[in-house]
Amino acid sequence: MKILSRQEEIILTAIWKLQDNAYGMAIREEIEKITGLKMHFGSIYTPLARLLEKELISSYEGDPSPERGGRRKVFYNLSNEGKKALIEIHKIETALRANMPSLEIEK
Amino acid sequence: MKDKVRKPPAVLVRILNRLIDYRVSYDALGEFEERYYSIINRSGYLIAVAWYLCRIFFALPDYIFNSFYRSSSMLQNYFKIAFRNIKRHKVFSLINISSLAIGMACFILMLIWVTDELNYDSFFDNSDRIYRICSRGKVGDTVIRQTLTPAPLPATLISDFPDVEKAVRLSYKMSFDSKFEENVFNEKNVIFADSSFLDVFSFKLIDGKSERVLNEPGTGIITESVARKYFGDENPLGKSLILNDGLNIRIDGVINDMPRNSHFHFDIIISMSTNNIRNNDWRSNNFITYLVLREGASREQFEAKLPDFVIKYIGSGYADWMQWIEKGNSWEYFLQPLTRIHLISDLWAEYEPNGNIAYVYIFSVSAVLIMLVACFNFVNLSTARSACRAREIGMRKVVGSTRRQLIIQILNESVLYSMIAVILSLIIIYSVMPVFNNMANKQFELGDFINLQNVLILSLFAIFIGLLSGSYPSLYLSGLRPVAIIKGKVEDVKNKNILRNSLIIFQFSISVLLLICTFIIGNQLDYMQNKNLGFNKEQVLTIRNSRSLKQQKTVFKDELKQYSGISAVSGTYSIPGGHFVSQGFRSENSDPIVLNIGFCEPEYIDVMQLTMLQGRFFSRDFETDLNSIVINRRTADLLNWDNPIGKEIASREFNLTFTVIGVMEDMHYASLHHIVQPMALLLVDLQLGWPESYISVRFDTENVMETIAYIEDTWKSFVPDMPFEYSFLENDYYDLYKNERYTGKLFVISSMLAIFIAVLGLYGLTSFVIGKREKEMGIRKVLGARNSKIFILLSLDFIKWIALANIIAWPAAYFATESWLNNFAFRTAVDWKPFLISGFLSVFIALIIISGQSIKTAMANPVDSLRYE
Repeated sequence: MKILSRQEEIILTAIWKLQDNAYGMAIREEIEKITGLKMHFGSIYTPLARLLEKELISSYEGDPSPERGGRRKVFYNLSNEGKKALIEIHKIETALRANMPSLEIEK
Repeated sequence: MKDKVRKPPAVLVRILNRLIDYRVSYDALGEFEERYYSIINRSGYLIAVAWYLCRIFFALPDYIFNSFYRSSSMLQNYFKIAFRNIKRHKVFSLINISSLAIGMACFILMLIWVTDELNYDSFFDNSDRIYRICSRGKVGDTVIRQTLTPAPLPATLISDFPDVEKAVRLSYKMSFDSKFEENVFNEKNVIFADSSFLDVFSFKLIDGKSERVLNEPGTGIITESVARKYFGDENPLGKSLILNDGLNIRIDGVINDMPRNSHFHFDIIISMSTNNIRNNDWRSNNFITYLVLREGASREQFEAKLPDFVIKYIGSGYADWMQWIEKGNSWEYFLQPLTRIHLISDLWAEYEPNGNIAYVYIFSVSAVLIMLVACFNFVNLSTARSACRAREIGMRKVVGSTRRQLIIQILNESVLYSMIAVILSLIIIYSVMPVFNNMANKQFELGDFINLQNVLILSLFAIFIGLLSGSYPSLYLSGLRPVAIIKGKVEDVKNKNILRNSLIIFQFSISVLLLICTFIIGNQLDYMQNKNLGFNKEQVLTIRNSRSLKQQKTVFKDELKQYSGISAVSGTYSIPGGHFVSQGFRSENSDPIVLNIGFCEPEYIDVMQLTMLQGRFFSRDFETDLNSIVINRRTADLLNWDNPIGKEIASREFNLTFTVIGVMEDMHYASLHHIVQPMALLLVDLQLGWPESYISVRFDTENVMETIAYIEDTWKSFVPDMPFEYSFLENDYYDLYKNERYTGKLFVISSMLAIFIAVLGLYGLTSFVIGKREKEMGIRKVLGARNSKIFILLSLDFIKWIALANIIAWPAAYFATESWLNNFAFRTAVDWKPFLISGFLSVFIALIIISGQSIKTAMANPVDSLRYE
């Protein structure tokens, strides 16, 4: 099983949540909505490249748009491996947090 | 809606494209473009461009990180291959790396030496504002340049010039017998100094209060080692040293030992107020004066005011000063920056023999040259091996390596070699350091130089050399054409040969140049040692602290004269190579002349075996000799006296007039750097303030040890608790040329190294080139050529290049040595012998190398070389 960095994990989750609408800007906004973190482009695109390298996600191109200077919009979706990874993560999370003494901050 | 769509600047887009991972660059760039347009609409063009630049800036960290990651995997392969190559061609790699290591070791050592020389005296506070003020002038035909200046100078400078913040007078070095309780030693580094000494020179007082030292007469400060010598661990403050059994000096302070890299070293400093000084005497120059200029003051402006200063104080003392100047004479003061004294100062009455900035230049240049030679070697050897690597390069290209990758690979190799060479050079330096220290008269420790900064600089240096030497081989090797290589052809381009040969020529010319210089320096040294000095320096022993004898001097000297092995004994104030007093005199026709005065006894002429040209020397038979003076030939020439006997010379300073009784042949009482100045001798009995300090003894027996033993015993019988200190005049004189001697040694080493490196290069080259012609020679042999013909054929090419190297080196060597020799007032002529010998040696050595290979090839069985055709 590949260990993912937190960054990659968050992006992976966001892509899954966004389903068909997962492109660069949308991913960024989604993450900001959920976690409140304003990520700059580098911290989105670098993990995206690594995820592509690991073949956890794949990309496909949409219609060309004038706003992008004639380029096509690039969408991302999870591959089977990616889905498996997310499941693994969830499993580990639950396993880790089972039977944990409750966290209370002393006053 | 704006019709004009301004895309982001194409340059920036391209940069960003390179920086972002190719997998997402399409997407990212599109994204950025979209955002760019919205920002232009919102905030304008400039903000948008600034934003785009920020994108670039933030993309950098990931790019740098990733490129390291990417290349590190290739690097592993490169290193593996590099090591394999080294193992496969052990001899070659060894030659390569060692010649580089030797070159580096040389370079680093030279660098250390040069840096040390350039940093003398820089440890003082405000060292950039401290100057020594010296005097120079033209008196008749004599040019005088000396450190000595008059007594009133410092005080007057301070009062007349607001730019002069502080000033101090120092006396010249003196020796005293110094005693505390039972400890008696002869101290040679004693000076008198004004109370401003510690204001000008920031030595820290370990003990004592700085306001109070060197004020009162009869007080002084000493260095740590002196304190330990006399007082052990006890506190020396308040205690007194007794000098020459008469002078009580109370110790008011202790300072650290003076650092090695300073132009003076004193052990005991006594307050100037202890002496009676004629503080209005502008005519005698007996003090060495240093001053500190105010911050921001201009040295040039200050120096410009000095000529008027001279007229005001010095000129005013002579009635006919202006006419004297008009006749072409001159007298002026000039400044020397403290930190430059060690390098450039070569005046009369220096404290210690100084270095010479010429040597700094020479050695910097030769260090760089040797480094270049080593690098050239490396280039040569690496390209020569191309045939072996051709197949590997070919394979790599076929499999898909780009030229850039190949270049990086080969550069990696040379940097690797360079790093190994640097480590090797450190080992070399460590083992050679004691010898180097010995020759250069310094005390370097490799440990002193190990600090983080130097290690970093050293690594950068290694990388730089690796890149420099590897640049050409990498370009050359990566440009080989794979198809041709695999087919078995390696092209032999004419250009390649020219470069290679010119490198060999260059290496050998440098070696020949250094060889010639070594011979010529050796010649000059021999000449100086053996030149007729006007006196006989052999078989003369100087007793250094005769003042300890006091009243018993005469009796002591008589005792010595009784001994059969001793032929003459004379007391004297000055010895050749030592200090002579510079005084102003006037002849009877009122010509002023500055004479260097020595004080001696009538026996001096026999001890030194001087030659009299006219008249006679002092003699005990004549009581009037107390008013007599013996002048040297130079003085007579300058005063235009053909018959000086009976003429008079007066010193206004002492209010005395002397009659000339004899003219002696010029004697070189200083080093042969200087022409002989006008000089005269007076009787030491005059007691003018320069008492007898030395006894010179001439012995004429083979039993030197016995004679010394006799003298020592006699000494002990007179003053048993005073140390007996003596030296041989020859050795004292020899010491004057310390600088030249070690330069000579350094040149010997440099030339040997240069030759060694050149030889290594030649060996590598010949083995390759001749090896390539194996097949050709095999065929020639089969066709009937004789061994000797083959040998000549192979060797002739190389001999041509060696000859060319000589032709280049000879004029350069001639020019260089001529200019060096001109530093000496007395020098040898540049002879043809060194040139021939060096030329012959270079050809001889080259022949040995070449023949080794040629003979092997010539004698080889053609069957072996042609077997695979």
